[in-house]
Amino acid sequence: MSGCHDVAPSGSGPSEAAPVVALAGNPNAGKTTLFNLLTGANQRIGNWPGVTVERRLGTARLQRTRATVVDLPGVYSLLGGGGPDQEVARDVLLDGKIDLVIDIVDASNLERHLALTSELLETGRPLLLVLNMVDEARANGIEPCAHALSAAMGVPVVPMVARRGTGRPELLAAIERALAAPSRGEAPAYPAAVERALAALSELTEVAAPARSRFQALRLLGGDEAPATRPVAHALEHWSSAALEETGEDAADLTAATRFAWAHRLATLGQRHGARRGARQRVTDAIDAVVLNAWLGVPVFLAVLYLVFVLSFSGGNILLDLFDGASAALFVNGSGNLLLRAGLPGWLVSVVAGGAGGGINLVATFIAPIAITFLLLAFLEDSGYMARAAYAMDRLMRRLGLPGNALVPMVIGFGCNVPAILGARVIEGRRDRLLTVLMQPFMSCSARLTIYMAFAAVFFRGHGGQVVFLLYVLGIAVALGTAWVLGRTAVPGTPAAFVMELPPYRLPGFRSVWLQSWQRLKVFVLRVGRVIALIGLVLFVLPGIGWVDGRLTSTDVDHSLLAQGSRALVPLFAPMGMRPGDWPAVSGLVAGAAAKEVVIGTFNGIYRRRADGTAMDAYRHPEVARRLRAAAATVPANAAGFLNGLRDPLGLTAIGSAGAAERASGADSATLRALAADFTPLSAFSYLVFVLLYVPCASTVGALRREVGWGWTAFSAAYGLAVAWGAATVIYQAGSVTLHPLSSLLWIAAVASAAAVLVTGLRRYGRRRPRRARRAAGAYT
Amino acid sequence: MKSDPGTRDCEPPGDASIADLERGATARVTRIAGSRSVSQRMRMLGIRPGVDVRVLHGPDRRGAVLGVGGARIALGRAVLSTVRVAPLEPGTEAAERAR
Repeated sequence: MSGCHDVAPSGSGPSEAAPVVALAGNPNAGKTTLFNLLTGANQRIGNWPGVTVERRLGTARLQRTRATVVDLPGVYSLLGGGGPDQEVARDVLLDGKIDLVIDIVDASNLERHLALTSELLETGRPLLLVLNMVDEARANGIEPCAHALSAAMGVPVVPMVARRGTGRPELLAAIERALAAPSRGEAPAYPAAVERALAALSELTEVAAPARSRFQALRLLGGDEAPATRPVAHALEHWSSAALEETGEDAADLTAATRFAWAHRLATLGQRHGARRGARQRVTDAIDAVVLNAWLGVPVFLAVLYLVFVLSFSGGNILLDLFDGASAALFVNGSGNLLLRAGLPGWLVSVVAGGAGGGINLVATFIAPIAITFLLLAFLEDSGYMARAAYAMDRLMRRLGLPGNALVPMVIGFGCNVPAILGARVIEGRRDRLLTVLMQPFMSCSARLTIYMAFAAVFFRGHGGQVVFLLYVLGIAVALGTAWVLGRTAVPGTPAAFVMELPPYRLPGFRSVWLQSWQRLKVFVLRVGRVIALIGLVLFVLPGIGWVDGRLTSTDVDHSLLAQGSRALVPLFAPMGMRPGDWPAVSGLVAGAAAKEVVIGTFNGIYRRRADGTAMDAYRHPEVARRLRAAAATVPANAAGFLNGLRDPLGLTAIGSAGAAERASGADSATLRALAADFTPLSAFSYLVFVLLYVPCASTVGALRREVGWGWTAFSAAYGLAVAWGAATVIYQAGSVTLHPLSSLLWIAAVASAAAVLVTGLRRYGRRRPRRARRAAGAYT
Repeated sequence: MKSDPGTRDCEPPGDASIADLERGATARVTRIAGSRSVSQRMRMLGIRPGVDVRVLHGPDRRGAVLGVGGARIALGRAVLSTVRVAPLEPGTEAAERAR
């Protein structure tokens, strides 16, 4: 993702000349909505360097100039607290090169939001206050007074309803004025003794940026940070007691109390209270009474989950065949035909059209379900429900040693593990975050579904639905079990206490949901597309060359490098029922380590290679128009099938009919017939269990490395392989115990003792590093 | 944070925790007894001494949802007892404003 790192947080980069405007505010203040309103589709999403925290940059067109707008993660305080996402926001606000900070506050909860404003004023940066959600404030009987606030703070204040776009022209004009003539406002004044202490302490800190050193002094004085050196500790003691003598109060209490008193005074100035309690509050109370109910909370969450499944899988299926057929027509047949006509040699046409084109075809097939998953998740995130789900599930999760908010990433993991790992950033404690991240690779993502589909079509026709559902449940069970075991052995501790804001319910704006999911989809398709097209290319070449008679030469599939390599690995899989002839399945696993989407692609690559003649035929007579028409024709039929899907969230009826499942899996029937010859239902199920649990895909490994470092990433991959091998072996051996009772029991006993050794090792690790464990338990925040 | 002397031995009639309140009750926070990280997190979310809160949901086996300012803050069962409060008499001006 080269595009992510070359734009520094300071905003240097493509729009070097444009002034940089940063959006800051508490979570749920409406920053992202405002960001979308200011920049429209003109935005780029990437990651902040070093962390998987989404970074959004965009360009706002002002009357005379343009400004680069940075959307920062929500932050409660510049003094500390929160996960790595809040750290990112703090770093930018304290050190970044910013020309203007737009502080977005929720007018319906003014006092608390102004606490951050008081800290922003202390940074001495040019500030502009957006008084957002004035409609909600009015609905709550509060009348915000922007003029009074502006006069008291000395910075411009713009009242807005960002969700509806109300106040946009006023804001653009105010930004332009603020950039031309910045106002830094007036920070809350501490008692003179505190100011002297702060000045002395900031001199001692070894930080260049003035805002950073002042906040470090504030953290020291407030007791948020322990002094790092002896002189600092000495000075802190001296100045604290001086302040105590002069004011009669503890300096730590004084700093916080001054800011809160300031926020309280400004909030009182900035709003008039009406009498009535708004209808919106009553609606929220009514919905909360159901979704937070002691008995209904969990079932409601499961129902929401079910709905996400129904709409993603069944809704995605409506367009799945269209994307599949159309992209095959254009990128495989169409491009093959063009290249042939251009006079390229046949082998090169095969490589480009069959390999790279086939790879693109594979990605395109998944665009519809993944887009719908992203849309639904953006909708849920904006609606205010996810925080309630976390609260509702907290009790249950806590029994497994996890906090309730670990659940949200798991739901996202059903779509794709990468955003799930990214979603774990909202979890505050280091131990809790580590456990949550390590669970994610076991959540069965949509890419793995294609493999289940292909196998279910062949082996489990009548019971395909149950088999696939069982695999999903197994994934969840292994994920929770992993957290349970690790939380008791390698990273002991108790989950952090549940303290979380429940944002008000909002009907998410179409524009906001659409923009958010569109940006994510774009990143996903480009990144995954590149990987898969490349792998498709390699996989098309590998089955065609082999080491024969001491030299590398073109050969048939069965004597290729791929076959030779895979055959060498087959014995490792023998305990889970694999035979030497099953080498294509092993090739699939090796390729699937890069991206699970390509397991079936590999099967296709191998068998399409055998059928290269017919592919050439297709390039000569591409019939692009007819194929496109045929692809379009699948939409009405699939739409009718969608209604069935409402009863069948995983699209499992498709498995009942071989043809439908075959289409859904993207494998052609020759591939499926070959599978049928190579597997028994039992070994096929063991293979699927292995596919579900083994190493995370390359993108997931990248996300893991950034979040938890190489050590835990290596552990995750090795642990995944071990669990996958153990589970698949136990299942196969238990299923075939009547055929060879002694060896089966020996294998099962071997896996059980290996598991015992693993647990003992993990426990020893947890004991050997008590300091690390204590830190991981969250004591350091 | 300074602890007010005397509350240990002889608690004034006002000293209760969120767990002792009824749904719909209002109360003024007197102190946060939890660990540093918990009390810091509560302070960031607006739960701090002197602030009036209202129990919007619970307390039940899950915890409770408090109304603080214009926000709703969910607290897990384990931290309910760390928020020490003095209940406000229903009908008083302060109790009405906390609604």
